[in-house]
Amino acid sequence: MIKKIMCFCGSGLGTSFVMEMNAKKALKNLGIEGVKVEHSTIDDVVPGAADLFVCSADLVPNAQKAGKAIGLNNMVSIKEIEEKLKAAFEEDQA
Amino acid sequence: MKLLKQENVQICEKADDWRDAVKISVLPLERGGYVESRYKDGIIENIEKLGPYIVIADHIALPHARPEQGAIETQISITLFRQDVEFEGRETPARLFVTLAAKDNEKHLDALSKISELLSDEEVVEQILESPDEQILYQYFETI
Repeated sequence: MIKKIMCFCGSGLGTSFVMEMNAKKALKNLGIEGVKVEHSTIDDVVPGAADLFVCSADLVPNAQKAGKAIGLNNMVSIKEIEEKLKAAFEEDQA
Repeated sequence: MKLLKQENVQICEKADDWRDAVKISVLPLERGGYVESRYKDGIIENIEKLGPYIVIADHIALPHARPEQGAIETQISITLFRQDVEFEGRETPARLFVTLAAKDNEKHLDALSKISELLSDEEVVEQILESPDEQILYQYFETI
């Protein structure tokens, strides 16, 4: 079950925050409730820190060491994050 | 609180490479005393270590580093390059640099959410990229 999502970037205050905001909007659009979303730095990406990690596409290999991850090419696009979150949640429930 | 001043909006023809582009984009913040001179080195180091995660979308970069890497006051500068800036490890180049100095983890969030919302519209981004002068470029971000 995905109950906690961690969006992260190298510094934990710019890119990661934009992703957090858009992840929250996307979850709302998808009608998914009860999921905690937060943003942080790559240093906090450790196994167990979250059920799903969200980051820029180039950081996915780092995230996969800690767990399930999705990578974004366009971090201001609600559409991209919504599609990828939808797929992740569908896979999660399968 | 207003985080973008018109004097910190600039249009440049080109940069030698992404490192040069980052330095140019930080310059207004350095001049205004919002960051120490080591701040730009922090941004460059982060990118060298972790890849170009500051390129948040096609055409758009959001250079920033940690507060402890030399940020003095929270402030934003905008730099538009007329020619593409290539990043190693990223297929699409960037032209619009929204450079952020964050003093802490909070103050910049409101501005950043407005910027993100503005730039999530690809048509608006296309228009911004075609800004003929700094005055018009500033107007897109005036509310920030």
